[in-house]
Amino acid sequence: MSRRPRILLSVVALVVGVIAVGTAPNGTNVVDPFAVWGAPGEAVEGRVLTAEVLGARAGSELLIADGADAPIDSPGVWLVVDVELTAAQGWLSLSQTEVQIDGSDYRTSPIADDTALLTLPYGSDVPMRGSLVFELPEAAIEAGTARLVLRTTIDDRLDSVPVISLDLRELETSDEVSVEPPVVVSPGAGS
Amino acid sequence: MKRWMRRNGVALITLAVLAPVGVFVLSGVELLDRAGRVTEPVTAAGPDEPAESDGLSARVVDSAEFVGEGDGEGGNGIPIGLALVATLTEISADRDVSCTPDLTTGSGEARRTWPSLSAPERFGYGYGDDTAIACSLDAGETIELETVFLTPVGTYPDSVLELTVTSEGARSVLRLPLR
Repeated sequence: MSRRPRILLSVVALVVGVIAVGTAPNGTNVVDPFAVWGAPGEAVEGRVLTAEVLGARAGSELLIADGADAPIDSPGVWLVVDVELTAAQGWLSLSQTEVQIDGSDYRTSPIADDTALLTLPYGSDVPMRGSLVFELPEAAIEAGTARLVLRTTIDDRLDSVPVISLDLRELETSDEVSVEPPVVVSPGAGS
Repeated sequence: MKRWMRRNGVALITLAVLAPVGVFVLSGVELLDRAGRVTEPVTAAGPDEPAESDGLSARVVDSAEFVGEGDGEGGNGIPIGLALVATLTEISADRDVSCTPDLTTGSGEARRTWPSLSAPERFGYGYGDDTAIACSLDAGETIELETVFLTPVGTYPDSVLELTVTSEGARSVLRLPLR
């Protein structure tokens, strides 16, 4: 091989190498979970969980059925997301579920732990309907869009996780939002 | 070609070895770590035989499926498409043990589990008068454990009862066919 093609080949190899190194996943995100994207009204299927958002509501006061008699005020906004969830393999916890808005993550509020749908206690293929409750700063709601990330464990490396986009501009808003206890529904009942 | 191989052969072989090793280090270690997490020894019983392990003996003596007819008039309180599976298991122990019952089908990625219900009366089920509803035994004791599971219709024929037994900090699993 003459000198000119060899130099050209080396330069190409160097450029490819730089691109490969620059775009390669780093030590943390190489084992990140795989997001399975969906929109409200769609059944989004992860490896261990199928999730469908039935609706989303926001308000400054939260009324918990079977809980405190008076509504609970928030200095920000209560975001209530109504969902239907089905575990694929067995018992699941949803306590790691979060809403991501503008680079910030908001976990489910502990105030509605006894009423919100934070566990699927019956096992595989038994669908439940209920609500997830988040307390957000008002500015977060004004961001326009959010992602509901339905994480079932702290260690979800290399697993698939349903992620559902929420349009915060289309939220049903009222002064008071209520949360009812979760219920078991028939499989395939649909929304 | 021969000349090229003489000059680049070592580099080529090094690449051929290092590339798969790199891929394994990035993701294979993670996957192997996950695969190695199930460690409890499992003892499976044949039909009509008791399963025995670490001084505990268990046998399913009866089971039944109650198919859901819905909440409406004439319904039984179990959602349509779902069913209650009830099991009665004779358990005896020669030392203090406790166990957790689960209904299961399949294995590996196809494994499905259903924990026992803590309040089956919510679905119209009433426990018998003389049965135990918690699996906790003193040494020398024998109980009839009544457990109820909420499953999709059609699960019952393929399912087995698994008792995860905890005794003196060690865990083992007894796998019992239904009858």
